[in-house]
Amino acid sequence: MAHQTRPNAGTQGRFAAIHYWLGKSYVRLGDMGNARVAMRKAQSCEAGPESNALFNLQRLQEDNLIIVIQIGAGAGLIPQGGDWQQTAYKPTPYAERAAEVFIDGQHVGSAVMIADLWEQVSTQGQTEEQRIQASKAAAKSIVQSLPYISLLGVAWDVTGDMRSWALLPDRILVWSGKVPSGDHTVILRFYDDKDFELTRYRQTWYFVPVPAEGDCVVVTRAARDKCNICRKEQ
Amino acid sequence: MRFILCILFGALFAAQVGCTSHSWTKIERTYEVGYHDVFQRMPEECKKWMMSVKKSQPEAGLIVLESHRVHDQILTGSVINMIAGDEVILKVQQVTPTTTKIFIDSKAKGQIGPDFGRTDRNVTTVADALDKVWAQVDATTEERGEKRPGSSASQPNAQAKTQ
Repeated sequence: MAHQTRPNAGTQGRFAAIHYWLGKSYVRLGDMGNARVAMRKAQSCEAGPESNALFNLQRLQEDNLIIVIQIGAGAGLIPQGGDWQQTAYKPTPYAERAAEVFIDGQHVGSAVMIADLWEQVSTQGQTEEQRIQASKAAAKSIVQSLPYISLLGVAWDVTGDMRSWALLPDRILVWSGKVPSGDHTVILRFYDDKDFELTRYRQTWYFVPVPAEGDCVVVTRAARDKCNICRKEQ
Repeated sequence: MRFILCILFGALFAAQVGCTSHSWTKIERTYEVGYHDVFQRMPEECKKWMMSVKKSQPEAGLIVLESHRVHDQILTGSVINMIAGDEVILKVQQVTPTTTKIFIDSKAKGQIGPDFGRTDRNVTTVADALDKVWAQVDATTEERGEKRPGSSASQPNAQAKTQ
């Protein structure tokens, strides 16, 4: 989402999801030293005490089922300014806030947040593009004020770049655990900000294959009626 | 003569400053429709509101409509705007695979002087028309069930023995 710029110096690298997956890759490659460094970096992202329990080298080695849950909708880029010369990200409201994981009918814990894309967006500094856009808008207003050449100013389009990735989630949650190899039934229950279950968001995935060696990664997105066979649309 | 010229230049200057007029009304709605359906239906639907699709970018969540409503433009008397027209922007954002949020804003290109609420009417026209096409989603009416087990988030069970 931060396609326009780099984040502020203080928040650079604060993206625990990257370090988590990097650590997982290093573990599978047998490079424990780098995996340990990745976990330390993930912990330094201050994702929260619950997330820090996930960023553990021993768990990284032992856990063989990883459930990645994307919740919410990413921020949208909307125009600002008299000439739409600037753009700003605006958060998108959504209902789900947390997810609980059940495997074969047994409650095994909550999914913890490893990435908050709104935090990434809201902590990025002013971009070079924004500065250029502000200069262009000022130049346009001057040109428009001058006689004879004012029409050029009218024709000059200084609209900012409003393109953004409209399909991104807002947060990424992860649950990981060690389960016996074989097929399992995974049930996900989603909860709102007041901890009440969103019943139509419930997801059930049958026959999730966990291999004897290696990992099984399930990636899903929270959505209403996702596992309802009578839903209007996938 | 000099006085008249000063008046004319002053009027021209004041008019040029307000050349671009944008709507004060900005509307955001969430509809029960898939993300790509919005882009597919918009060219057909917007003809009913005397608009046309100028730009449609599903990969960027952006639809730009063009409006040339002469009866509105005669009131504001902007010749340049009659040629350039108004722009209505729709920023489309997927909330879930079945719900989509649309942000609507409008800008008058080359508008000399105030637009007498024409851009605001553009926004409300599009929003009202979209309301008739798709049902709005009200997040407060979402079905709620039981309270979460353990009010605070519990630690993930790293050693989940399921059998």
